[in-house]
Amino acid sequence: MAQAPNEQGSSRKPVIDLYFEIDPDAPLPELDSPTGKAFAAQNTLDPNQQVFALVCSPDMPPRAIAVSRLYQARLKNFLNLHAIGIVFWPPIARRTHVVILDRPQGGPVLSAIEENAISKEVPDLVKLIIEPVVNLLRETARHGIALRSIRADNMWFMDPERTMPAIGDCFTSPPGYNQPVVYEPIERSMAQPAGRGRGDLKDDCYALGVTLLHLVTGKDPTRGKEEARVIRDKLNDGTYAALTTGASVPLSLLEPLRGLLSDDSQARWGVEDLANWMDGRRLTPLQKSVSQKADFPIHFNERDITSPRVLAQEMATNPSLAVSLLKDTALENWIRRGLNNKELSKKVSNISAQGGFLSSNRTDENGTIALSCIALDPSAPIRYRGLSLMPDGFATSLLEEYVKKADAQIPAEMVMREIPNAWFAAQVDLPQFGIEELRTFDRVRLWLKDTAFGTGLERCLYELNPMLHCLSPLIAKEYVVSIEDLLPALERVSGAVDPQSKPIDRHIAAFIASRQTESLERHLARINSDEADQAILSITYVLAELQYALKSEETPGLTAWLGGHLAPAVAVYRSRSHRRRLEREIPKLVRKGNLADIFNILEDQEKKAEDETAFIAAQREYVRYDMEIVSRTDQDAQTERGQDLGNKTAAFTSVALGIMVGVLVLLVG
Amino acid sequence: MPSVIFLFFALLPTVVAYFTDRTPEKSGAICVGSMNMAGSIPSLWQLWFGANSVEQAVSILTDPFSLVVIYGAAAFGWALFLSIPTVVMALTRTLDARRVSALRTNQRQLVEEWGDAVTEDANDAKEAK
Repeated sequence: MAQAPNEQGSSRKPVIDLYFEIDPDAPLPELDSPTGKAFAAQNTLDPNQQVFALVCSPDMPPRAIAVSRLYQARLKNFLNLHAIGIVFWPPIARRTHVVILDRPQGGPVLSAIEENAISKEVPDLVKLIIEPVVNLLRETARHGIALRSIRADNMWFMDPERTMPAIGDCFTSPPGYNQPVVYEPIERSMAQPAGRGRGDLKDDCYALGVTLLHLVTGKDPTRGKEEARVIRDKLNDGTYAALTTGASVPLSLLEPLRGLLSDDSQARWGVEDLANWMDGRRLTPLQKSVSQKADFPIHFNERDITSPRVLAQEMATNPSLAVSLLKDTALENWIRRGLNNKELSKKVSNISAQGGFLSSNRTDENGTIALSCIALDPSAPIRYRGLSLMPDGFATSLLEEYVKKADAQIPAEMVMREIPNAWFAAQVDLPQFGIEELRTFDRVRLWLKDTAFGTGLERCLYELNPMLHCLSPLIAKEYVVSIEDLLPALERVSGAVDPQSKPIDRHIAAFIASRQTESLERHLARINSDEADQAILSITYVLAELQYALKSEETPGLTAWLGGHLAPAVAVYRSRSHRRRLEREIPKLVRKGNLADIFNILEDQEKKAEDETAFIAAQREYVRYDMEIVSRTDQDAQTERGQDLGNKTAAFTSVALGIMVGVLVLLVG
Repeated sequence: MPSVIFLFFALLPTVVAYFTDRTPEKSGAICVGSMNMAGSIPSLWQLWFGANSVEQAVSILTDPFSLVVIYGAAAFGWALFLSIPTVVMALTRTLDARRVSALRTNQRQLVEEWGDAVTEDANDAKEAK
């Protein structure tokens, strides 16, 4: 999974993992995925290996968990991931992720069905499609991952004889992102594509049910219907009824379809149920009502609605109408009398009251709508200000919002208002991902509250999306995904950046904090210190630490860039001669490109202490000189001192003279 | 007795100087006294190694030459007391000026090495005054 060294301007074909060569001039549009363009690729060590490349969008990182768990997994009936890397991709003139997958030789399963090249008889479909996919799902469950990409147009035949089906790409997008809403269980289909969440095996089984229906009928079960209509039909009638009504489904397939398309995830068939059915054991899956129906409808958005789940969905998509409805008592009355649910009525009433809706002062419109929707349909996604996401789809939703709007204020606000906590509190059975996600939201809230470098929204982005490249405007085009590539990228851009910009901005700080195991958070937090010397010393320390810890090569360009900002750190020394010495030394160290040397010469504690001590001594000396000057220039004092000294000199002279005369007289006498 | 009589009259200028001298260390009296004593020694010598009688003492004290020597020496002492401090004061003024100049140079060097911040304490002290 190493990053390829291919660079801009190279005429060679991009290569990843040393052996996989990709041909940008040989597109394979028939193998395109909605989030990846397909190109011919070759394993130069084994040219007979049939592989192709999917080039990801630079704005959407690959699905990290799928990559980590299925890398070189060698599963049957699956387009296995042989390699993943980052290359400079000439058609978009940017670096981006590329994945190398098995190349199917028999074309899409859907085409074979449409061309009647394979039998649509149930026993044949069981043998050809269901059994291999069931085995695949057993394997993926063993790897602890749901594929979330099972759909009719993502099934391929690996062999030209069309005997070996395989599920296609699940790596180039967030889970469920490329699935049409019909392939997603009701709850996840209501979420925006990036927010459908990781899901589990039951979600793959649901998708398999829809795929079977598509294959056996030869047509998309929802062809011609808008997504909103599909969701509404599922909510009103249940998936099974909504998809099979009017379709010519073989009788023998009704039972597994009923089981796989169950809207109750607990009752939905899993792979073992399907295996039992294939073994001839007959089960009778029950179709529970998907939603409680009211005795009389409530009028909302020019529709008469009897289902609280449908009402919640409509309220979420029409917030202005939802506000009017929540201000009114009609909703409470409808819940109490129509749904005969006093408890829910009281709950919605409390939410409205807490949001200030029952008074003239509306304080939290968006939060109240979101909480009301959760109360009416607890299993539905969290819906807040146009966002709609399952809690396990928060990471990718956050990223999509940020990439689309260069801001993710809405998801951040949603977390700060603890809407996800309300969602979890409303669940009768905490979902499998519950505890883990609750902890994630707690961590996200802490990061969002903190405004220091290395935290904030940026930290959330990188912590929650492990394969996201650093989005800093300084190095975004360098597509830095791994911390090892950060310093080389900064070195490459150092000649072209605005010298006024600093080498670590909020994005780079958050990227380092989330990718570097060595804790640098304390130093990162000081980067936006008001003290300019502390800020630049922290930047120097962090970069030096990275250079040392990652054993990076010398970076003279980056060091020169940093050198332009070192003035405050030099100015910290009071001794001007030491400053001049530093100013002479630093350019030499800059040329060497060793960041640690620069840090050490600037942050020399012994020197700093000496400097401070010497400065205090100099201050005292200056004061002493000042006092002496005052005393020596004071006329009165000067006269007094002169007079005193003169008197003493006169006395001494006289005594000396007297003695000399006396001695002389004695000698002469 | 002749010596006492002699010294009483010979050292009269010293006694006068002692009472008129206003300096704390009585420098004037010391000057006059030293020179007065030096001027008296030849006569005292003559008395001790001569007749050493009251008449001899009176004879010396009435000898104009001896009196000029004794009192002239005392006057010279007074002249020293008056002239030396003036000379010394002029000398100390010159030395002070040179010292102040050296101190100012030192201060300038401190400012050059440490910047204006080094004067802060001195400025604070001046403001406090």
